[in-house]
Amino acid sequence: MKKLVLTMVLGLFAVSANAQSDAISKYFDKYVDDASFMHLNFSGKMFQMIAKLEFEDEAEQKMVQESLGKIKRVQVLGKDKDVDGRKMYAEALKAIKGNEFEELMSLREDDKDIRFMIKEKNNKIHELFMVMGGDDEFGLLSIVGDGIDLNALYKLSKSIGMDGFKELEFLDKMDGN
Amino acid sequence: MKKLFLISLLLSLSLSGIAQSRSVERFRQDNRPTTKLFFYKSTLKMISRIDLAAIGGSNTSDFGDMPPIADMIAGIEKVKFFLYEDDDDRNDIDQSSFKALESKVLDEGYESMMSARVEGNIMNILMKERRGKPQGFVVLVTMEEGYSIIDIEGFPDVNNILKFSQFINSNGSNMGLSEAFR
Repeated sequence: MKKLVLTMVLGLFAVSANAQSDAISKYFDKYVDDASFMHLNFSGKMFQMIAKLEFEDEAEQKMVQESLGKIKRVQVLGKDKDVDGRKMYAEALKAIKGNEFEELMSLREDDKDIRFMIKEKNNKIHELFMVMGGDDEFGLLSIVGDGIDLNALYKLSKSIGMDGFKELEFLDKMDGN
Repeated sequence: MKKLFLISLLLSLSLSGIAQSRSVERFRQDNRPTTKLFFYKSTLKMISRIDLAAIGGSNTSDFGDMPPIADMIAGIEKVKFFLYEDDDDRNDIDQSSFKALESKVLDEGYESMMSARVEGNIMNILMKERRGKPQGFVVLVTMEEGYSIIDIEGFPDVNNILKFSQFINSNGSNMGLSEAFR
């Protein structure tokens, strides 16, 4: 009986940890429910399917199978009108400050600021989190996985023409390292 | 022997019966759609043979590199499409009844693959798989003017969809999700 209770408690912890393990669900949940925000959510199932794709190039095939299958969730949240992007950008950085994330890169492009942060454990990237804020736009991107290869994700999104990950272009230049 | 044959027949019939979502079918019976479309294997084959260049009046070479639609939809057995318009008095669907449909589809064993909310429009793609292979998809769309449901038995060829996406992209079109809603 004790064993059963312990298993159930551990199970509950695992579920709650999983449900709130990404930065958007944890710190920006109120925007997820706000219909004025654009919200995209891709489950791990989607990436498992993509990982089964057959590529003509063997190296590409290996890269996709070994990296994309490890992605558990991708979320994009954004607004491009009636928003004080700069204020929200500052608030977002404040919300996650000191919370397991370390800065990967920050850049200023045109009239917006972009900051990339990662959550690492045992030399594996578990989450990439991007915050973007401009005069009238604001955006968040979260990629959660178990040892995710961001370069592979960027290359694939580029090859299928998805614009959502274009901010990861710098990884291509860095060869994913 | 006869008994075994009868059981096998009943089993195969019941399995083919559950390839599409039962909840969607029940929802359609309870709520009369404004528009309903059914595509069978033969209909899909016919669509795939349509000469796109002739319809668009464009140069045939524009479509030369496009992957054959027939290859893309080869794995699809059946497609149902239901549209519910808000100003149609024959149904009284609202956000909550549509959300309840989503929960029922999930209870059937479908899993969420992707959801998108863009400019107030919401799209959810749910997939059911068996032994690691997709068996069917349900796409639920909430729009400004109403709701629509796409229920697919089978699965499209993902490799060819990727090629199709690359083709669209190379021809200057934007495949962004936000564009898809516009």
